[in-house]
Amino acid sequence: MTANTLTPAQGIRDFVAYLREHGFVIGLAELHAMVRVALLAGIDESAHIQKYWRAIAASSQKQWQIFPDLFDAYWFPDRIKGTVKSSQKKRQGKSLPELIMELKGEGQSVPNQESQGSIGLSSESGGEQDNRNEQAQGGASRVDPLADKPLGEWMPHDSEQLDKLIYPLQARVRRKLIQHYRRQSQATKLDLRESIRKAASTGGELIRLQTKTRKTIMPKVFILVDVSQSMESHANFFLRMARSFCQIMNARAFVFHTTLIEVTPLLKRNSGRVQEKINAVTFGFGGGTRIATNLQSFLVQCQRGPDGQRIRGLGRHDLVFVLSDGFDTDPPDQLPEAVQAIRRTGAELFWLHPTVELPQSKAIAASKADISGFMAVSHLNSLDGLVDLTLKRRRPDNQTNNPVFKGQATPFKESAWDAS
Amino acid sequence: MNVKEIAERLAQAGYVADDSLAEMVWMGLTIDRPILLEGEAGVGKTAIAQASATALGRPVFRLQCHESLDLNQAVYEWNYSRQLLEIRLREAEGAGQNQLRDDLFSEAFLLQRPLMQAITCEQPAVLLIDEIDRADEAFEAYLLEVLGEFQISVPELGTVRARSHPLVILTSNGTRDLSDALRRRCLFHYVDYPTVSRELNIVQTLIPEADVELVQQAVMFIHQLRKEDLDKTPGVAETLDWIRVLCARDLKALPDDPVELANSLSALLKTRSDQWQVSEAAITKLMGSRQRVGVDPGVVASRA
Repeated sequence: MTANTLTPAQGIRDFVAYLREHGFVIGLAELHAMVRVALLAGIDESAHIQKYWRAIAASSQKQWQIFPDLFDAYWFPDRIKGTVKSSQKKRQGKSLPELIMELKGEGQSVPNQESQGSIGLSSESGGEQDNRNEQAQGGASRVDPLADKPLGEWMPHDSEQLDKLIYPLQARVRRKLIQHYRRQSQATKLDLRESIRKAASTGGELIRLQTKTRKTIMPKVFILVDVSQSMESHANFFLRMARSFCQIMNARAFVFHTTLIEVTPLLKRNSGRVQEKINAVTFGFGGGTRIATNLQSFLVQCQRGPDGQRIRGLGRHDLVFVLSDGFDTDPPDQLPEAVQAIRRTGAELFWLHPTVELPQSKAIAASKADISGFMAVSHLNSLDGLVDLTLKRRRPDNQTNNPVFKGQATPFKESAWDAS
Repeated sequence: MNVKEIAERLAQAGYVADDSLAEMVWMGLTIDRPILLEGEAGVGKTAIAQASATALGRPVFRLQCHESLDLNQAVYEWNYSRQLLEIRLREAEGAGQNQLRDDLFSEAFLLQRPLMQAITCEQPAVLLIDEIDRADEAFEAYLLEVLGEFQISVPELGTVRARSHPLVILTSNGTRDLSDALRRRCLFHYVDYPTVSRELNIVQTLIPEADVELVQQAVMFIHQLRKEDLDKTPGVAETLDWIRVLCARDLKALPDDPVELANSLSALLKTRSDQWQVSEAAITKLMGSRQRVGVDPGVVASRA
C-alpha cells in the first residue's frame, strides 16, 4: 500500500501502532475513542487533537510527557527537523488536518468499506507491520548495545534499563506473612470481636459476620555498596543499581568504605540531580575497605529510621544485597562472624560482585557457607539472573548443608563459578 | 458546551484551569469517560471536581478511598437495623411471611453510598473518587464495572443501571501503580505544578485582598523553592496557605530578613529534613534570585 492510498482510519491505526512501539497500551476502545474525538473536534480543532489523543493514549506521567514529541515526530516530522528526538517510523501519507477532513467526509478520497472495517487490529496488516519492523535495513539489529556494555562506560540515562530489570524482582519477591490481621470480606477466618461489635447496631443479633485475613508485607530490602578504591570503576553503576532498588522496591541503601553511611534519602527522590548526588556520596571515598566492621555496623544502623528513631531492623525473609569485590582489610575471620550475625536474624544475604569470577579473598571463602548466593554483575545481561538468584535461594536442608553444593547451586552464569 | 465555555465557568467557580484541563473536562463530558488525574499532592486535583460540579450545576458525590475501603462504604449496604425493626413490627401485626421476605430486600432498605448515589441520581452528577491509589486492588477491580458500564450489580436486586451518566473524576498521588485495566478506561491527565503566570492568576483570584507586589514575590520565591531538592515540594495549596499567613501579618512585600521569613515557612515546608535543608542561608539565596527578578528592566517595564 502506498502512502497516498492510506485511509484516515488506517492512518490513525498506524499512529496507534507507532505509540504501541513506544510502550503505550492502547486497545480497540481507545482507538475508537481517538477516531470519535477527531470527528467531534472538527478541522478547526486539529491543533488540539494532540491534547485530546494524549488524554486517551497516555496512562502514566512518563507517557504523558513523551506523547507530544511522538505526536510531532509522526504527524509533523518537519517540526523536529534537526533534532534527535525520534528516529523510528515516520509518518506515512497525509497530514493530520487532511486526515480529519477525510474522516468527516470532506476530503477527496472516501475510505472504502474494506478500510473502514480494518480499524483496529487486522491480523493481516498487523503481520505486515511486524514484518516491516523485523526487516531491519543495512544490517541494523534490535539487540540493545547496552546489554553488553561494560559498566564503566555507562551513561546516567542508561539507568532506565536497570529499572526494567528490577521490576520483575519486585513483582515476584515472596511477601512476608505477618501476625497482624486485616478485615477482608472474602476471608475465611471469623473476626469474632468485630462481628460482636457490629452486632451492636442490630440489637445484638449476629447478622453480619466479619472475617479477617493475615496481612502480608513486602520483605525489607537493603543494599550495601562498596565504594572503596578497588571498586572505583564500578561504584557508580552499583549506586545507580541501589537507586533503582530504592525507588522500585523501597529499599534502604548504604555505602561503605572504612565507615558505613545510609544514603537512602539521597537516592530515593527522582530528581535531575541524581548524578550530582552520586558524585557527592562517592566523593572522599577511595581508601581501604572494612567489610566485616561495616556489616556489623549495618546491623545496628538498620535499626534506626531516617530521623534516628528506633525501628525494627532485619527480620525473616528480608533481603540484603552486598555489592562488593570482597577485598577486605579486616581480619579474615571477622567477616564470617558478621555474615552469620546477619543470617541469624533470618535475613538472606546475597553477594553481587563486579568480577566475572567469585571474589578470591580469604574472608569470602570462609563466609561462603553462610552467604545465600553470589552473582557476577559485570554487565547488564548478567542481571537477568537476579530474580532466580533471589527466589530460588531455598534448598532442601540436606543440600544446603553442603557448602560445595550451596556455592554451585546459585542460579547464575556458570562462568562465575569457574574459580570455585 | 465547548472548551472555552467550560474554562470560563470553571473560572467563575474559582478554579483557574489551564487549557488542557478544560479540554479534559470537555472530553469527559463528550465521550462519557472517567478522568484520571495524577499529580503531586496539593496541585488542585480534588478542587477540579468540586469546581466542575459548581460550574456545571451538578451535585457532587465524593468517595474518599483508604486501605480498608469496602463495598459497604463505597457502594451500598443493607439497613439491618431497619430490617430488624420491620420484622418485629410485622410479627406484632401478624403479617404474612412471604410478603415480608420480598419487602426486606427492596430499595427501601438499601443504604446508598457515593457510587450508588451517583449513578441513581436523576440529574447528571459529578462523582469524585479521591486518592484511588489508597484503595486496595480488589476495590479497583470492582470499579471497572462501574466506570466501564455505569452499572452496579446488587445480588438481591439485580443490576442497577445509571439513570444519568455522572462525570467521574478519579485522583491519584501515585503512591502505587494503578492497573492497566483501570487506566485504559480513563482519560489521563497529569496535573503538574502551575507556571508562574498561572499561579499568579490563581492566587490573585482566590486571595484578592493580597497585595500584588507580595503575591509576585511570594510566587517567584516558591518557584525557586520548587527547584530545590525537597522531600515534599510545596503545591498550590501551600502557596495559598503561605500567602494567607503573610497577608494576615499585613505584609505588602516579602520581608528582607531571612529569619523573619523562615518563621512563616512552616506553611510551605512539611518535613523535618526540608525545614533543616531550607536554612537561613538558603533563604537568602532564594531571596537573592527574587531580587534579581525584581530589578529586571523587562519586569519593571511590564509592571509599569
